[in-house]
This record gives sequence, structure tokens and C-alpha cells, in this order.
Amino acid sequence: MSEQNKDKLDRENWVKHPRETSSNAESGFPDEKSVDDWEAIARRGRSLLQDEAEAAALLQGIDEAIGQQFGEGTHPITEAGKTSPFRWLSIAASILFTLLIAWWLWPKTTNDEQLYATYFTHLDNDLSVNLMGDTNVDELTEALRPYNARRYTDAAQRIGDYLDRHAEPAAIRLYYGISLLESGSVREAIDQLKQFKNTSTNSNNYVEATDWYLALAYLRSDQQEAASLLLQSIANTQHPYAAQAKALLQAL
Amino acid sequence: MEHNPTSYTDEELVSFFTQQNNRRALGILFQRYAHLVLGLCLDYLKNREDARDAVMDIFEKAARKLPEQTVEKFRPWLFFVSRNHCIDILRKQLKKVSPEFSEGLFVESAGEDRPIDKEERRIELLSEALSSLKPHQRDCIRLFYLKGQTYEQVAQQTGYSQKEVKSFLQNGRRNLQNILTRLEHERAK
Repeated sequence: MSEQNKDKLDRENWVKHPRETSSNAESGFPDEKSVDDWEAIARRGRSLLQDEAEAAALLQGIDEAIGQQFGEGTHPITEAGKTSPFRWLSIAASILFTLLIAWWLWPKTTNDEQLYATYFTHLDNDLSVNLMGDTNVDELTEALRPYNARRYTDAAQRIGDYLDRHAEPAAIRLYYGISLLESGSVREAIDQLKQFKNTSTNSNNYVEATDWYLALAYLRSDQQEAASLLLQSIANTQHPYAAQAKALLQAL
Repeated sequence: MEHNPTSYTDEELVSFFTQQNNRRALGILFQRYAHLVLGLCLDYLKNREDARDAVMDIFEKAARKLPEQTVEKFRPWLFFVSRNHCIDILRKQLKKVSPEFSEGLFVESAGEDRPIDKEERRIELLSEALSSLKPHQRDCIRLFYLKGQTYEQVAQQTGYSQKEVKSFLQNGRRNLQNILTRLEHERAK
């Protein structure tokens, strides 16, 4: 069995968590936790998840985070150090090809990212003030503290924890989306902003702000068409972000 | 020459990263081990959100450490980086817990001069003992003692009544102490 297939099988088995392989998962566990027991340890950890879907989703989220941070794992790697008569020719062709691709992609990508950086502004948190007197206000204020300090990565973590425990106020999901967006988790930011928008029945300041930050999220994730469509709908209505949307559309 | 990236050995991928600063190679390597690291973090931390965050922290830590160290075998190296990270998290959580929970939980008292490996051993035992508890007792103990939540917060998060939470905590703590005592005696043999 190849290394590749072996890894795939291990991973699939972990997600499926077959009962027949978990004989030592609950009892009779090895005395010492050593690398030789890693798979048994991982199976026991897996048993804490409810089902295959939860395990697969959790693993997929981690794969995506790895992909964002370290690059996707499905593309070929150019191996260095091998001597082949065509090696230098191959390298030269690869470099030329890479430069061509870079030349084609660079201006657009840089432009979108620059535009995002130019147009993104911090949305002041007014939830803590508006909800003063509510039962969860202390916990809410604590969760939003890193956001107020513009520490968005920390904010995404803390607000995410808060949302695990409380569904209200619904608008905190907007601040969660903004924090995810600024900390680089753009896909998750889009999901959260869309979720808030879709569950809001009435239009209000928070929903209008969500339109704007969703458009910025599309821009940052290279979905220029989706960004343009949303910006046009903002620009053509009585929207608090209409002026910014018009300016950004012209710059695109 | 181009290869399917998954055909490289762990050590070849490490070499691509350390010698050519190829971060994609590191991504392939981390995806290869993601399920094992995640399973280990779940086993130690007993919580999916904490485990998910710990996995990414471990990978970031590994990416920082790899260029500074000579890693002959990646698998055992990553195992110990992961294990140590989880133990550090649990150690920090235990430092914050109430004296009611931490004192008397272990057979021996924890002195200032206690060797670090012994402390780690206890944390590992605690992790194992928590795994042996019934799920409702484990969840309440983790949230109340290790996460520092109130009875009300634990009740909200778990869906149990506050009365049930108090009962599960009382029984869970007693069972945990029994399991820890048994494990310490077993391992001392």
C-alpha cells in the first residue's frame, strides 16, 4: 500500500470511527501516551464527537485553515537536487511559466487587496451600550473587548465562544464576521455575514452594515462579480454606505 | 521533476520547507497529520472548539520550530509537540481552577519542588480520568472547573437544569477522584 493510500485510509477510518478498531478506546488504554499509541489516542479523541458528519466537518475546517495559511496540498511540488539532462531547461520553462501567470494575476489580486485595505474601516461596537441592563451584557462586553481594541483574531475567537453559548443579540454575528474578515478567515466571514443577513427579518443599521462588509469580503476573496453586484445594490438605494459603494465601484 | 505531493515522505516534505522555504510542502504534511493531531487534542482537551484552535496553534508552532531544529523523524517529533502543547493548555487551565477542585484530587500533594515530568504525568492522568467519566459528568466538570463557568452558564450550555448540574458535578468529582486514585496506583506498580 502506498504512503498516500495508507494516509487516506487512516484519515477515513478516523472520520468513520469504526467500532471494531476502538477496542482500547474506552478501556484498557495504553499506560503511557507514546507516539506508538497515537492512532489509539486519536480514536479515543474522535469518540467524543457525535458522528461522522461532525468529524468530517471539523477536519474540513482545519484543512481549509491549513490551505489558507500554508497553501493547498493538491498541487505538484518541483523537486530540487535531482540531476537530469533536462533539469535546467525544465526549471527555466517553469520560471517563465510562473512569471507569465504572475504577470497575469498580480495586478488584479494586488488591486483587490489594496482596494479592500483602502475601504475597510472599523465598525464601532454599540451593542454593549444598546443592551445595557440585559442579563448577558457583562459577558457580551467581555467578548467584544478585543474587537474594540481592533485585535480581530482574538476577537473572532472570543465572539465565536460567546456565540456558542448565546444566540442573542443576533447582531453580534456582524461583529464576528468583521473580525473573521480582518483576521483573514474570509470564507468563514462570508458564511457568518450571510447567516446574519438571511436571518434578519427587518432592515436596520446592522443589516445595512452587513451588506457593506459582505461586499468587502467578496472583494477580498477574489469574487469580484459578487462584490460588484452587491455594491451596485448598495449604491442604487438609500443606503448609509451608498457613497462608499459608488466610489469603490468606480475603482474596481 | 514534478511529483504528486502526497508521494513524498514526511522527511522529504520537511526538507522542502526547511531548505527551500516551501510552505506548501508544510501544508501537505500538516493535512496528512491533521486527523491524528485533532484526535489527540480532542482526547486531551475534551472540547471540539478548544481542540480545533489547538490544532492550528500546534501547526503554527511546528512551522516556527522546524527551521530551528534537526528533525530526523517527523512523526514522533510532531506527536510530542502536540502532546506538550495540550499539556501546557491543561496546566494553564488547572492553575486557574478553584482550590476545591485541584486540592486533594491527586493522591500525593503537589509541592513546589515537584518535578515537571510528574506534573505532566498528573495532567495526563486527569485527561484519561476525565475520559472515563460519564459524558454528562465530564461535560459539567470541564465547563465548571476547567473553563470557570458558573452553574447558570453550564446549565445554559448543556441544557441540564442547575440542580442536575450541581448533582453531576458532585458525583463527577467523586468519581474522578476514585479513577485518579486507581490510575495512580496502577501506574505506580
